[in-house]
Amino acid sequence: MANSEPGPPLIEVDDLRLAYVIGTQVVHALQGVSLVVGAGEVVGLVGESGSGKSTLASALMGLTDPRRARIDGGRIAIDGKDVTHLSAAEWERMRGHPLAMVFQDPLNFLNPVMRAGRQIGESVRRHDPGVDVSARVHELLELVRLPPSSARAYPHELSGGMRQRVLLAIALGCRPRLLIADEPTTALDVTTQAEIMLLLRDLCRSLGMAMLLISHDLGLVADACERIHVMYAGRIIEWGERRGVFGNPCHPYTIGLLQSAYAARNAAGRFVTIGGEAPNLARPAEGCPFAPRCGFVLEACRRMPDAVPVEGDGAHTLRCWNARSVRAAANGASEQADAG
Amino acid sequence: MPAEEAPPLLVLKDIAKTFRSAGGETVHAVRGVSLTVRERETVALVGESGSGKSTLGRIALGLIRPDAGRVLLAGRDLEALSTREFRRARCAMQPIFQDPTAALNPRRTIRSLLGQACGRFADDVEQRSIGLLESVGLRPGADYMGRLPHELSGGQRQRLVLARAIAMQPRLVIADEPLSGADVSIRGQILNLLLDIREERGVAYLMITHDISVARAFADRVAVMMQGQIVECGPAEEVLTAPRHQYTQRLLKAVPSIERTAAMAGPAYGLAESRARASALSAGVGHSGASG
Amino acid sequence: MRSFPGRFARQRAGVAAALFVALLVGICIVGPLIGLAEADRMSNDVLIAPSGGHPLGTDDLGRDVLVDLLLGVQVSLFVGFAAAVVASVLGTVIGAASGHYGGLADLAVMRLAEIFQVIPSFILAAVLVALSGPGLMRVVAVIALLAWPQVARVMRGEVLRIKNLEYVDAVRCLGFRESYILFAEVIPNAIAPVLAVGTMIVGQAILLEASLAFFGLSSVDIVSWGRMLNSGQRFLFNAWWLSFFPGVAIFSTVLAFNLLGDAIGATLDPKGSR
Repeated sequence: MANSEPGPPLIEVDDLRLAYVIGTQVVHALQGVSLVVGAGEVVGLVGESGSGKSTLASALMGLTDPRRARIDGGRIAIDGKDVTHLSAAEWERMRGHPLAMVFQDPLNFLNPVMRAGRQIGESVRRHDPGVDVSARVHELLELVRLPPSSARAYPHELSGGMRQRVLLAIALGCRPRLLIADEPTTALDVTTQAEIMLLLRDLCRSLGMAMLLISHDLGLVADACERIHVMYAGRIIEWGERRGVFGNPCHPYTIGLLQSAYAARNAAGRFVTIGGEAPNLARPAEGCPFAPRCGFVLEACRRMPDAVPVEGDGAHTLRCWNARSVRAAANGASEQADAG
Repeated sequence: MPAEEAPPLLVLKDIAKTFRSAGGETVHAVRGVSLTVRERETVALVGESGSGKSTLGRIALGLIRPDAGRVLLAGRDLEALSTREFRRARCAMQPIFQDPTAALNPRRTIRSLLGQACGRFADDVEQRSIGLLESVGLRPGADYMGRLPHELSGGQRQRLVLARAIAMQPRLVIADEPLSGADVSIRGQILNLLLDIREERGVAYLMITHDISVARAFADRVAVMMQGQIVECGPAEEVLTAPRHQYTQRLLKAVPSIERTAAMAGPAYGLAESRARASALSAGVGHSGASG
Repeated sequence: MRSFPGRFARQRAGVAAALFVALLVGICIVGPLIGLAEADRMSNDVLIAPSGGHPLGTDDLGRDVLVDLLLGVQVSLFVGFAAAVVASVLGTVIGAASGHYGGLADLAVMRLAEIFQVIPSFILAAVLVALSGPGLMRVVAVIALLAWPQVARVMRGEVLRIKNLEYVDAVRCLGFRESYILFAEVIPNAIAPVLAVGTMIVGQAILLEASLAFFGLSSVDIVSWGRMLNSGQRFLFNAWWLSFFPGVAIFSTVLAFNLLGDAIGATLDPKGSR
């Protein structure tokens, strides 16, 4: 299951702070986010609405509107190049190679009056001038497991899953080293979703491509990604290897999220949930943003917790002052379960 | 678990519905479907998009007329009723639609919305409305009465939709993807509300969903729908753990599962442990979501 | 920003137009109070160019052009609003019923609306007025008759969109009858675009009335900007002010109503609420 070993980082986000300015309101969408994706890695970013994951995705592709978004600190580097304050023209040159993106709703991103094959061809021509376009298009269609006849189809004639594959083919036409997939299967059926995810995984392996998978679907991310970051209120609060973050979650939010995801019930038969709602990013709290909803809150939580590695697991880090108690409760429970 | 001998509440018999699209194409949305929901029972209708499950839900609610087949509510054939009788009878079945924003008239205040639902019964509509709001966790109810739907958050709107659904004291609630609008972490809040409604009011549910974990958590029986037909139907445990039909097997296999991942991660992080941790931690983490 | 006045204020052209319309309405109200009346205005100062005592000049009967213009405001606004209101009410009812109940009646109504929209309005108006005789109310009726299809179309479209929305279905499940649903749930949510169209109809009506008057088809005894243009024709080269100022008045007023209609439409559009 292992991909090629991580090389020099393709994405390096260092303490990024980004705010949207809408009139007089300032929404602090990202409050110190750090993230690394190395060559050939499959990394997941999990978060709900309001967590900032879409903002991060946009920032990584240079799609944030400079009139509305303001970078308050930190930096982003792609393939070694600092892109934090890149101009629109420079971003255009970056996109496609080394960085490509697929989005949630392919219908919005495909030209409705142009046949699929031609759109893929455009991408090829842009990044691979001189190559035999139709042969390459044929090759790409095979790569995404589409029949050659789909080249002649218009987007509305294709099913959702096929459109997503076309979008993938366009992305791959640029020979990217990194693919950012932002909710790539949310609009698709479960069975189609499974096929697309399988395809993505195989492509990453065979092309040595790295992928950053952004989703609210924990199961999806758990299946596909080796390393996972959990986002909450503009910060990454727990991150590490899959077996650590999902197998041994330590942050109360992550645990609550996992429980909610598989509709777990507690001893009283109630569904486990996280009370309250996501915080308002227009008024960022001083301390830990999860504190109002947390069952393990301490005095210390008035200050944002530092990043501390989980005991005994160098690859698993989280931001929680009370990790000890949380893990103790967890261990206590599992002992109970073993005994009982 | 309700007794299997509970009387049937909703009976759909050989329902068929075909749509003709503008381009002249014929879509066979529902093809010969029969389904029964008993009193106090929860039936999950599981299927992917295009399976016809939403259409079936609307036919059951009497919003769409089937081309063939009968809909019986508490033994009465809806087709056979006069318009007036039908309007009366349908109050026993209430919908919860997928999108809480589209489910509420944007120009009506909450007072007005609940008034429509309560007004037919009682004189003390105001009191009843406030009571309803509080029973779904919107407290203090009086504060919410004058607001408009767009002033509420997504989760609050979903609660309001639930409040309206139970205002008529229905015997059956037909919920079409009730959790799809909500964030994962607050799904439990809504599920608990649905649970409360079921236990306190003895309501039956027809839950239409594509989410297997919700079906597993909530339903007594599961019916799997594919391309307009029910391919498998039976007790939830059976269908979801040992499915017989090929399609069901494919569906279950395709659902990405955290449990599978946790199990794959190694014996030290096995499923049983995660679950045990989950139940212990729920004492500290996460509340039953009563706080709005 | 959710409130109507708040969002409307962001449409600068619309705000300017609204102020202009308010000014016209003000003139209508204040005019009679300060003794602005038709009678006894003829004088010996015939065909004087714009100057001190007569800022916009006088016509061939010695009447002050500025006073004429101000009197014409009343007529224009009356015709405009009256026609727009009648057309809107008619169009709303017909369009809503057509969209909600559908069927053959809907088809019939739509074909009828198409007939009215396809025939050039001025020609039809001229014919109808010529047949029915002059008179302000007749002119209003004719214009309303020509304008209702626009409103009906818009209303029908909105009703078709809304009648199967989930909140309407939810109220159906509460056991209310279809007529209640049409009036209490559908129409209030469908009415917004009608306001925008209705405002533009005011401008169209004013223009149509002026055109009819220009050809001498409107009432002879009332002061109307169109009629001023009619009389001004003969003096086009030696008394330009008799045509210029009424022309400017018509132009600005119609433009103002069009901009106002646009702004109302933009304000009410839910997509513009960000």
